[in-house]
Amino acid sequence: MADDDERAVGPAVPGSGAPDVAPDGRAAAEPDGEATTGDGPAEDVPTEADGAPADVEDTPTEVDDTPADVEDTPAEADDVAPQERAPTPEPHVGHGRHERPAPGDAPPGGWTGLFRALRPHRSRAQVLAGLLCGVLGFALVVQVSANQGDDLSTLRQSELVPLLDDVTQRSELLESQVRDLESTRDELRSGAAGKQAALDLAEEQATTEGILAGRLPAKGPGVDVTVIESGEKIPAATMFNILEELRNAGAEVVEINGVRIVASSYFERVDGDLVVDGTKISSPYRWKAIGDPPTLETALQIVGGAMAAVRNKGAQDTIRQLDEVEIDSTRTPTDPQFATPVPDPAGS
Amino acid sequence: MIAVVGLIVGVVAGLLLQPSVPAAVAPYLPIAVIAALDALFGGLRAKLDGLFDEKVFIVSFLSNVVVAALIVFLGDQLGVGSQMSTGVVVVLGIRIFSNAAAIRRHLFKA
Repeated sequence: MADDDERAVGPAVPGSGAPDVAPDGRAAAEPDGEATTGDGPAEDVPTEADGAPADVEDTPTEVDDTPADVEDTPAEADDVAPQERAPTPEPHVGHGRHERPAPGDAPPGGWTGLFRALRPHRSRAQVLAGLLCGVLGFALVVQVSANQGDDLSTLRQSELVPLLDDVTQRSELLESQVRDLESTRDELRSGAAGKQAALDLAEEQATTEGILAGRLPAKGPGVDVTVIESGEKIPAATMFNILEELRNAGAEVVEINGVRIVASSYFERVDGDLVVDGTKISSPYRWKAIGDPPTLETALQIVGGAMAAVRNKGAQDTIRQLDEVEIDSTRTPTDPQFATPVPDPAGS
Repeated sequence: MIAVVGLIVGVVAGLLLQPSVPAAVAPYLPIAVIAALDALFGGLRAKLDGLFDEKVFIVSFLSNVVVAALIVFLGDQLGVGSQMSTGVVVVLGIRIFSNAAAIRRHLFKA
């Protein structure tokens, strides 16, 4: 960009007339300078125009321009060109330290120039320049490798402080999120525990009620009563008496000939056959009851009680107390047709 | 040629030794490297112009590096270190670009 500006300026210089050349050259150089360092590009301007072989027709102008630049030269130690160029057109202006550049050596240009530059010729200054280049390469690699490592180590304190603030803020945010999530998790966990407890309780109740309602098979200590008719039929009322005695003695589960006895069970005689809950059964009648065995037997053997009535009808009876009575028969409870539960006043 | 050899030797040495940058010079090393690169390109361009002088090259190289590091150091002391290094990098980058353009013109005539 700066170069293009310079090229546009170059041809314009001769057109502006010889007397104005020097001021004009300064004026042309100045805007470039403002764009960059101040005097940096100003030094570059003449050099490029001078060096480019395409600008040969500018040469007279450049030569006129030179004195204006020479004033700057001592201050511009880092730029090679103006100092080198100054002696070439006007040798008397030289600073006394340039002996090398011969006028014929000035524009080698192109690849030959590059190859000539690369041709080794030893001198103390060349070796020193090589040494500096070595230092540059070393520093370059060191910096690159340092930059590829932990990039925080190259930062300044003023850059690290906001970084640290950032990280701290972020970690605080994350910590608060962790707390929120942990409390949510605890809530859910306790909720799940509560739900599990309720579920366990419900299952327990279902088991208890299932046993009592005849829905589940059950086992436990109890009695096994066998009644065998001999001739005379045992009336249904007598059989029902046995059941009542068992219930009074605290029997929890009762079965007769594989029929589970529930709250709505009934006995009746239909055409001489004993029917329990719609199922016809016949002698021998085998009762099974789960409860406290001695209590159950005592209740059945009571004087003038159920067993006495059975014996009055000429039947034989056996009562055995057992540590384990297993009752496998079940009954599916029917849904109540008229009754509905009263809502719990506690509301839980 | 010696310069190129020196550059290669330096790069190889840096790769082999893998030294760590001391914390004190960590902010100045990249700036110094950029400044040295600028001097290197300026020297190459002067070479192609046929105006190269080793003494000038060495002095400009060293003074470039020192001044660049000094500016950044000063900026650090004034509390504008990062802005200052940005400014130095911009300036040196522009100079490297213009030098590279001149070199390109020499080599490719375009």
